[in-house]
Amino acid sequence: MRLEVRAFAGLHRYIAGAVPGESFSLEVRDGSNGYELLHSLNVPVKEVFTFMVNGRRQDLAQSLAEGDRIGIFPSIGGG
Amino acid sequence: MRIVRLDMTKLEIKQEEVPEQYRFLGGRALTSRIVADEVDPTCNPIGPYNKLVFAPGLLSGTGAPSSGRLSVGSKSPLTGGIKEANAGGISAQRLANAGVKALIIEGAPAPGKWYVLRIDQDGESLTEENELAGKGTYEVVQALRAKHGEKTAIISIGPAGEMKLTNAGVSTCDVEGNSSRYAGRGGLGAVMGAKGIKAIVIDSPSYINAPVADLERFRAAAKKFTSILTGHPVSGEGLPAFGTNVLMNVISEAGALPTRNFSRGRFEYANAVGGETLAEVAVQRGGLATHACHPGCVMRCSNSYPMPDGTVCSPIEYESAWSLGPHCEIKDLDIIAKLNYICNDVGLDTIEAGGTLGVAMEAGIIPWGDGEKAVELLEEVGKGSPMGRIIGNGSVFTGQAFGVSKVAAVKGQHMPAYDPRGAKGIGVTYATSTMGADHTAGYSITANVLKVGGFVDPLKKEGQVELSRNLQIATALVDSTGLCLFVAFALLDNPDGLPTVVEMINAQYGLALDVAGALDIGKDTLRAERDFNAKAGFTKAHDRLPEFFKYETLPPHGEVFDVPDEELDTVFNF
Repeated sequence: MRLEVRAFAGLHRYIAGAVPGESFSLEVRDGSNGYELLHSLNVPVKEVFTFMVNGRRQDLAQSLAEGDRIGIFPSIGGG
Repeated sequence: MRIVRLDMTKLEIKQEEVPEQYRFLGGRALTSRIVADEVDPTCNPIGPYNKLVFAPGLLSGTGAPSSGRLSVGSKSPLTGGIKEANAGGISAQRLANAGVKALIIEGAPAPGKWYVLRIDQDGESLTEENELAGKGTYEVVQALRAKHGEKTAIISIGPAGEMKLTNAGVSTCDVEGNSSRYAGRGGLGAVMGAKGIKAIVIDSPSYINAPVADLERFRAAAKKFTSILTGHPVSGEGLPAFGTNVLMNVISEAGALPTRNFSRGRFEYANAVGGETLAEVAVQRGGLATHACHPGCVMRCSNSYPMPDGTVCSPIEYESAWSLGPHCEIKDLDIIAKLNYICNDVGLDTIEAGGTLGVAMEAGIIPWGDGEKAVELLEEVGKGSPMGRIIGNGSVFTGQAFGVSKVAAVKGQHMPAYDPRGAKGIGVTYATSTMGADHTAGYSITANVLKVGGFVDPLKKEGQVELSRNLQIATALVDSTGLCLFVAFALLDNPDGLPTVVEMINAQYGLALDVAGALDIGKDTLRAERDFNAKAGFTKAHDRLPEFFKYETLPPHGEVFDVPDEELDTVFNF
């Protein structure tokens, strides 16, 4: 299945060819979860504080679905 | 420490002893207390009976990290209620080190005369300086620093404040003299203009030597608090790396970024105007991705963004980047920087100014996303043209002038950078805050989106009232300490955080407060503000969001704001 992925606030540095904040398409095994996605992207799990799927926070253990929009963030704040 | 009282009717300055009941108050607790005690809530905000109060926080001017916040209090010309506008920069540290606990400006001079107040450790003086009239804040700071010293703090108003426009802010400056640190919200620049004060110059021998009762104990607590801040991932790593505008992408991803005047929750060009892009471009052009707005700040969330013509806008904050960007469908950081710079120079609050430009676009005065036209329209404010004066009076006034019903304001003040349908906890704060729509008054985005201090699902109505209540109380305390509100990220996650703040206060003032006692400062402050607002004519009906948030759904989540009115009425049950 294909996912739409964005890496923010410095996490793009782990992903070959990724541009900060810009989306890229990624093919993963059907039924993959967040852990498997991060593993395939070479992004260390401990660096990811917010894992967002279609605009909602989601547990890494939960399965992903075709076409999901994924955002990965370290711990950030502002305001 | 002294209280300085400046009577602009008699042009007379008095030094007063700090009354017992004010000794252990600072910042917002002190400005709101003085306004509640001395200002008739029904007075005309730009008339002679309103007062303008400046107070450093309890810890400002000491070695406490990130403690340089200034509170400016008054009756707001924008909301008609009490206001505390809170600014960074060096003014609070200078005031505290000049021995000033609070400055109260009252009365009104003969029209058309402009004055500069100078304050230092030896006293105060007032001079008529009409040649500064009409000048932008950058030029005012430059001129006054040339005369009084390059390290002085300058508080000033731009032409917007002189014209007494309801979106006029009070400018303060950073070490470098950028007049960009604003007590922006609520139109307090118009009050300063009504008092005939163009600028206040503050000098002091130090930034960090305000009186402390037990210095050794204080230093130990301040050191511990520094490590609490630098040890938290947000205040220790995230804020110094990308600044506040790192929020642009996460709020857009969460579907809570108000885009095209609150029509949708995601902006397809969020990344082009977000913190990552800003940091990269700023550094490429020789600017700074991280910068402290006052000496001793360990979070350094500010930045310095050189525009294409070489002029520097320092900083561009998230809220400004949003209001002048996605809210207007503007996707060009250079345009956002230019608009931000104009706000700083003319003397406008950026959130309200961007909010108003969005309303002007909704009205069809200029096209959506047209940055050049937005610059032209905003420049009208400084010229004082009829159109400029409409825009300079803010979003509600502009909406009325052009028949726009969709204006995202509460109590007359425009919302900041989070849609209350995509993050409902912040909607509770917008609706009920004593300040009008104000994110800082109870920053529920922490638990709604950032997962700091726990997690409350942003799209559910449950839990939002309690979240907002607790944050509003804690914030009223933090705003009284002079600590930057961004210490809250660490306070919410680290159980040692608040006790260490209380320890610093105890060591400085020789007190024996516990955390509950300190939080009472926050509760008492909110009660005084609510009481003032009630006497000014505010009712439950004012603690509501504009009706379109109840009926219009927000893409991508399709939510409305559905926290029941009866629950909003329980926020201040404490």
